Amino acid sequence: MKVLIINLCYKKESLSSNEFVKPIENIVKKTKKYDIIHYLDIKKKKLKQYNKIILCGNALKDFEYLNHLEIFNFIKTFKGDVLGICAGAHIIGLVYNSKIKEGKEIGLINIKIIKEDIILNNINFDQTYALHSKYIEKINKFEILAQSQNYNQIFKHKNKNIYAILFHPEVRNKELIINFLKL
Amino acid sequence: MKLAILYSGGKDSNYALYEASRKHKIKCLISIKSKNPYSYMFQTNGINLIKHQSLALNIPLIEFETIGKKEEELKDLKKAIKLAIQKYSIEGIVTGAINSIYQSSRIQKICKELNIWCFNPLWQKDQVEFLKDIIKNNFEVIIVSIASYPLNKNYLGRKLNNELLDELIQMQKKYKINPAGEGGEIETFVINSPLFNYKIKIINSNIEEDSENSAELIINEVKLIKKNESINN
Repeated sequence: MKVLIINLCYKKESLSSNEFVKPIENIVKKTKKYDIIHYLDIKKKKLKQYNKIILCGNALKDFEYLNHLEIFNFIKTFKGDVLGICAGAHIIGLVYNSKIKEGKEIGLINIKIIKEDIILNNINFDQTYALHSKYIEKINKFEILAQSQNYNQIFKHKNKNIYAILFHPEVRNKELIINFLKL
Repeated sequence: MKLAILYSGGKDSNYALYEASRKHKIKCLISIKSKNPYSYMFQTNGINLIKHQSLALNIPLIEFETIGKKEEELKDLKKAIKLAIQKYSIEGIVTGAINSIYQSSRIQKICKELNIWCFNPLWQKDQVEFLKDIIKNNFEVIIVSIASYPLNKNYLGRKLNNELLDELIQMQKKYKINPAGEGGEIETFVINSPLFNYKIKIINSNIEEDSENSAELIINEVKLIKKNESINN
C-alpha cells in the first residue's frame, strides 16, 4: 500500500509546491512508497490503492481550494488514515460541517498537549511553526489533542485515524508525520 | 504572476530567482543595504556589488538602505516592497529562505499586510542537496565571508565545486557547521549563473580578518565580461 500526498496549491505547477509539498515528500520518501497528486486530479476510484493520505498546506494567500470542496467528500468514506495540514486541516473541518474563521498565526508558537495520542509520541514541541490566516474552532465528531495560546491546533476523529493539524509539522516537528506514517 | 525577489547577491537568492523565473516573470530585484554588519535579516557582505548583478541579469534593482535596528529593518523592507508594487505592479515576493523561521515569518507577515503572495522555493531543502544542485546547474559561487571554526581566510574567494562541497560535508559531520551557511558560517557571492547574460570578473579585492575564523573578502572593483571570456584574462 502507498501514501497519497495531495497538493492543495492553486495549480499543480505552483511555485508554492516547493514550499508545502516537497518537504512532506522528503519525509515520506524515506520509508514509504508514495504518489503526489494535485487535488483537481483526484479520481475517487483510484484511492483504493492507498492506505494513507496527507493533505498538504499552501500559501497564505491561496484559498482556491475553497471553491472545490466537493472533491474532498471522499475523506468521510476513505478506509485508511488521513492527515490534513493547515489548508488540509481546514478542508477536513469543512467536510465535517465545521466553519473556518479569520485568525492568523505566523512564526513560532507554543503548543500545549491536551490529550496524549500515538502520533504525539516522542515529539519535542519546543519549536512549532505556524503559517495560517484562518482557524477551525471545533469539528463535530473530533476531539482536540493540542492547543496554542490562541487556537486549537490538533484535532482527531473520535473513531478513525483522521487528524487535522493547523500548524506545519514538516518544518520543526517532522516526527509527527513519521508517527502518522507508522500507524 | 509578476514577482520581485529579495536579493542579497549570494547563492540562496540567486537559486530562488532561478527556480522562480521558470514559472513567473521576475520584474525586479529588491536589495536592502543594512548598516548593521550583524543584521539578522540581511546579508551585508557584497551588497554594494548587486548593481553589477542586476546588470548581468538585466533585471531592474530597487535598493533601500536601513540603519539595521531590529524592527526598523522590517519597516524599511516593507517600504521597498511597496515601491516595487507601485513601480512594477508586482503581485508577490520570492525569498531564498531555507530554514530560518526568523527571516521567513517576518517576510510572510509583511506580504500578508500588503496582500501579496510570498514564495520560498528553497524552504526546508536539504542543505547538501541544495549545494549539489547549485554545482550541477553551473552557478559560479565564491565564498566572501567566513565566521565559524574551522573555516579560515584561505576559504575566501574559493569557488563552490565538488571538492569544496566534500570539505564542507566533512566539517558538518565533525563540527556541526551548516554546509550551506544559513547560520552565517559562510556568505557567498554569485559571479555567474544560468540567468546571467554576463559574468562578473573581480578586478580588485582584499581580505579583512577579525580573527582566525572570522574574515571577509572585500571586493573593491569588478567588471562584467562576456560569458565565453576567461575570468583570468
